[in-house]
Amino acid sequence: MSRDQERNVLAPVADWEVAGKMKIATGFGSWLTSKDEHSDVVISSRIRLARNLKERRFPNRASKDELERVVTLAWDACKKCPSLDRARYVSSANLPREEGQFFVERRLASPQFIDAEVPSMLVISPGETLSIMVNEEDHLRLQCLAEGLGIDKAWDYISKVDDELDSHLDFCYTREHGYLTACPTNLGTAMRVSIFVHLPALAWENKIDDVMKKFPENEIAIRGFYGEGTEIIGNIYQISNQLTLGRTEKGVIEQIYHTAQDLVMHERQARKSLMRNFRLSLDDAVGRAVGIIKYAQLISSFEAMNLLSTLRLGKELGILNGVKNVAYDQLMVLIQPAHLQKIYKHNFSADERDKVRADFLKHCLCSS
Amino acid sequence: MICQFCNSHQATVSIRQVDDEHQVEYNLCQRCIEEKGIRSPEFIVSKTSGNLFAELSAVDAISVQSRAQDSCDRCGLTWRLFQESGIFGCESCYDMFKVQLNQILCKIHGSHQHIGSRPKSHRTVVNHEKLDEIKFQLECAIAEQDFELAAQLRDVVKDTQRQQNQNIDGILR
Repeated sequence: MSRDQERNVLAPVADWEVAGKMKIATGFGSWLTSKDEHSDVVISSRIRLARNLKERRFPNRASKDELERVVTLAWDACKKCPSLDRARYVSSANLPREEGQFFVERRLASPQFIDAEVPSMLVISPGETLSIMVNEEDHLRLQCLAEGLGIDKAWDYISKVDDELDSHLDFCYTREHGYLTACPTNLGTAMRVSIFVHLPALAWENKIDDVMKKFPENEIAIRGFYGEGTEIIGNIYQISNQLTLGRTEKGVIEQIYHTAQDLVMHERQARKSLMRNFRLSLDDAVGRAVGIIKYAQLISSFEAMNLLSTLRLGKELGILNGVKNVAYDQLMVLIQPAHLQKIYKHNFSADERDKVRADFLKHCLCSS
Repeated sequence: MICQFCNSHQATVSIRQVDDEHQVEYNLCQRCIEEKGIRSPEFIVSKTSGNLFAELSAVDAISVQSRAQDSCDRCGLTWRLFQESGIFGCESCYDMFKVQLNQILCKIHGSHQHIGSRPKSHRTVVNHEKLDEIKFQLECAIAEQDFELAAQLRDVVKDTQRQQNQNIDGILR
């Protein structure tokens, strides 16, 4: 890339402004600023598409020169896409580890992408709705985020960008196997649809396993907050399709949509049941969460996520007032290490970070 | 080469039986491979004695190797390396290891046939008059149970309808 193209590489994606005593993040994607009718349970939806370029080895077997060439081709193609007008381009050559972590926390890149020390590029659309990882496991990994159960909205946008890129790039495709991907588990549509659901009431009633068992294990994957192999934090589950071959995109989207609706129904029932049968315990749990945030001096990321999960439930059930629902979702991102570093413009040790996190939460939620 | 088991179909896969001292190779057709339930491409059996064919159904796993080259021409990936990483190195790997792969795909996806969207270069658009003709051909193909042709014709109908409909339903790509 030329110097001009790299000029914005290290510019922060988010800007910060002060409203009263509280710092507010601007530049968040719509998944963190808007809601739909399912947002009480479904925090966000995401669609990922994998694409590889014809006659070029996949990133795991390609040379540095080949990968650099892929970056250049992707860059040229993206610049010609109307839907990517004013997109931000981040080159791996200018991406320090902590800056990369910032994009992971904002769900714009995967941890694997940031960790890989190969020529790569991250393209971020205005509004952080869509991002493209160049040279992750596949040459291109497009992903689109939407608020709530906005899978259709995400599909409309990502398929439009895919079509625009298709006009300038030759993708690996065969009639039999569809879009060819480095891993055959992604073959075919090469599409992964995920929803991020908040299920505190089902967890409270120990019904998570019973509900999840209803979904076919070979078709629906249930993962933790940051994907495969990660733990469940803050009662947030990632639900996605397993199968990509022998299915249409429409079929997969409908399947995940119905799965989500089913989960929403069960979680809402569980919440009603909690309000009916355990109101005092619920008030107590929410009150304790507020108390901890008000007086604790050290709060780990894990504890913060669980506290915010309880507060989010309290807000949805009308026990808590005064803070917008989306604020809890935003805080779940803001209390992550790279974000705290960016907010306070300081590189903290892990212990210092727990102190800063406690202060930050107090500042955001308890300041009058 | 004719399949050594059924003596009727073309052999497409070679199977290597190995014991402590000997190595014997058999050539089989895809149909016999599937009928005998040889699913794992991983060579595990260490002590199989006697006639392999007589023992095929009892064998837990035997080596199934493509009769083509062991490694991909373009990226050099071997089947063994793929088994370790689960990742292919390039598009040519899909041709090189097609036999083994399709068995795995059926296990993973329950299918080895793509039915989803296509790149623009694989879409076919015809004019309005031609579309009616294609639709008629599609009905005939279905009636004659020529599902491969039917699938191709269905794609043309989809592509054309999509092109005609400016209010794009992005799913019908």
